[in-house]
Amino acid sequence: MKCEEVRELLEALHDNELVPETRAAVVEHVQGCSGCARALRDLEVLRPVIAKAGRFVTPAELRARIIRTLRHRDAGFARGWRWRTLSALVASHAAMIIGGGLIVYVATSDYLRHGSATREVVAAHVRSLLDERRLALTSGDQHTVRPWFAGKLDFSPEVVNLEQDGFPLLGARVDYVDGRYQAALEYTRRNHKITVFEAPADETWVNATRRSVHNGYNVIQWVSGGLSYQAISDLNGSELGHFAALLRRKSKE
Amino acid sequence: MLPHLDSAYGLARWMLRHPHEAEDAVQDAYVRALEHFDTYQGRGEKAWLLTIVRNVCLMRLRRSRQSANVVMIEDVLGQVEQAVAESSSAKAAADPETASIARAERNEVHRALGRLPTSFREVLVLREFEELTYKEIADVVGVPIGTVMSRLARARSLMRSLLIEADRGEHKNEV
Repeated sequence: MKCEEVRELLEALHDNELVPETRAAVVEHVQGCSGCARALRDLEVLRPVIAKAGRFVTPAELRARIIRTLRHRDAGFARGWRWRTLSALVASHAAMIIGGGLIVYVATSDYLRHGSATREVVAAHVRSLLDERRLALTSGDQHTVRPWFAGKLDFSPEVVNLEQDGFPLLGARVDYVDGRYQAALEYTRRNHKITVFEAPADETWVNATRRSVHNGYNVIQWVSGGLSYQAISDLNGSELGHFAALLRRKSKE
Repeated sequence: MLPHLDSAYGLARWMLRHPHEAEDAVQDAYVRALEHFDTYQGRGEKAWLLTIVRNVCLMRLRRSRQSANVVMIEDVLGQVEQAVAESSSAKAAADPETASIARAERNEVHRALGRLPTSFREVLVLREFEELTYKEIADVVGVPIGTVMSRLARARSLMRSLLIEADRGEHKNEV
């Protein structure tokens, strides 16, 4: 690589934005070229200096104002959803009358049943994001978390450690969602939180993985070993899918 | 969205450079974010929120420029260009420059950042304080990645020049 090419890429190297092959080529050049090495050092000197400016701290009053705004909206969510449920019900009954098809009705009520469950887990997940103290137990160790649930729930939830797969467990709490107590486990991926709700699966759960998006949150639901699992996060769909697949596989082991 | 409140407030402070203006802008941005929550596709929540914050700030900047007699970007740019020209004439002495940059104190850094034109300041803030990737910055600012890279490079070289200039000013006073 020539110096001019390298100079163009130094910023990207400094910002860790180069693909591995290019990165290797640039690093190799810099190691053998004092001019480019100096240019890189010039960049590196600046970062800690800029960091001295520090981050602004949000005034407490503003934080309180924003929390009120968000809570207000949380209530708005629920209202909006009741309306949507009602219109879906009307639609399903209309379909029944027109087609006389029982299948349509079953499919729709199944959709409604799971739609409302999804709705509730999304709301529970959002509430946990609003209030970071909601974790009752902070531990990443499955042998601490699992016994903690004993006596708090009438079932034994699966707790899987996915730290090595890049999804560390933050902790757990018991939450009341969809008309029953559920185990809520919180995992993290970079800055994204993932909540997994577990409860005994009743007969309305079908044995297939469902994926949906609610208000921008990805939700994956499945049944395994008699338990229903609902994983929810603002993490992108493919990474959450990967997480769900890992959880599913490891909970069987 | 609450976890990104500090990021939202920080960006607004750096863009508007006034605490009360920034608070109002953030409040405004959150209300807008909630109104348009349906458009959010479930990835990059932080970048999505910062995009809204930035738009609100730009609107406010435009409005205040129309009503008040605010220094235009071009004027600042002119001053900064001059600073660059002066410092590059002394390019041979690179190590003293490095030393004088490293000496910069918090309020000097603040002042230098504040003197950058908004379009350079915002990319530098998003990169250095918010640690967004080039792609995320490109999304927030609404320009191609190449433009992000060139603005970052310019922003950094301007910062260097301004810090060196500030350091020289101080030494002049000492003598």
